[in-house]
Amino acid sequence: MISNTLKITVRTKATTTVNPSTQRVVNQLSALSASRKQPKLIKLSHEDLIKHNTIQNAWKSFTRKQETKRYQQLQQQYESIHNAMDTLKAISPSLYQMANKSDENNWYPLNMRVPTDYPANMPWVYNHKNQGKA
Amino acid sequence: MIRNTIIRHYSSITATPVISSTVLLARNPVITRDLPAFEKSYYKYQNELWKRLMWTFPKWFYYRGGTLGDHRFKELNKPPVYNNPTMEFTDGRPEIRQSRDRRFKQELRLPKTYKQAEDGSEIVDEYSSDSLSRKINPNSRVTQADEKNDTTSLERKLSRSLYLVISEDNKTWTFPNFAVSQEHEIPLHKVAEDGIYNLGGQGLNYYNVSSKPCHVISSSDNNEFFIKSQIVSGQFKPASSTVKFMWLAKEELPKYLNNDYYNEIQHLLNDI
Repeated sequence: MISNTLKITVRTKATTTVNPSTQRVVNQLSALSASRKQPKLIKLSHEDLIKHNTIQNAWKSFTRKQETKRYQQLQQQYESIHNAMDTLKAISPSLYQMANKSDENNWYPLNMRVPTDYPANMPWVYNHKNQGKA
Repeated sequence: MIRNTIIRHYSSITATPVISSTVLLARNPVITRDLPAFEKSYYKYQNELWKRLMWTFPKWFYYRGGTLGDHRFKELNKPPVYNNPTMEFTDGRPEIRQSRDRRFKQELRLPKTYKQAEDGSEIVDEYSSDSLSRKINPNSRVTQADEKNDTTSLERKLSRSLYLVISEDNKTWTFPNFAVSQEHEIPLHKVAEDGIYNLGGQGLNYYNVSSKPCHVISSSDNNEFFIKSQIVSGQFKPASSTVKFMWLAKEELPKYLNNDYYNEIQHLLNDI
């Protein structure tokens, strides 16, 4: 009788009956969700807000200047090519024909390196030998 | 005026108009550009804002509780001061969520893959030289050629585009210029290629950007067409010792080139 009542009152650890794969999904979602992970909002004072806006405006004008400079240079380069081709057409039509062939098979070389933050141990490949040429 | 002298070097006097092909042989940047001070400070500011607004690192997802990794992580990242109700905080009460004070950015220190001494330097043992987990020490962005100011080296100014200039008398410097013969009709970029190979040897791999000329300088009877190309590998090694050459960045060119000549072609050159 006593043992019977004891059985009822003893509390054991709650056993969750969640599938392990479901538990994994729950874990993954907990890493992705925003709950209890978001920082406090930044509340800038009036002075700090002015500072922030000044920085952003300076950046905007800086990038705008760079963009206009780049655009102007590209336009100049385009006009240069146009002018050069026109001159070539007037002087030597045969050279113009040869120059005006499509460049679509002129692939960019695959062994050209992409710029990295730090140089490789050997920054430049020196030992190149042209196979086709004598 | 200088144009006439350049062409006279390579071509015999023929019937008008004289056509010549000039190569703008560039060495592309090997490393990323140097950031100016303004950009550097702006990126730093944005990075700090981004860190401040970042969510808390889900530590429980990457380090399961009770494991060795979790222990190492806890050793490096001490929990912040908790919100003790019996204490006074002069600069605001801490708001701890997931053991992070959400008023500030979270600064994480991750366990290193190599053994560290007390001062943070790497302990070098016999296994560390070829171990994958060794500390990465990047090479210097300033090379030996920069220190010696060796203008003929391809390893100088790695963050900039360099252009090849040559000189026969060590006084007047020009881009390599080659006359196009009147009898054999050879395309301009082919003339440039053959000229570069004859002048600088065969040990040079280059990429011709286009067969179309990118610029022309026309005087009374001379037409100098510009062909853009980029050196991929190998080096420019003049066969004759009289030919001097240099690899120069855009802002160094006006020192060596004729002023009018430079102003006419400066938009073709890369700023980076």
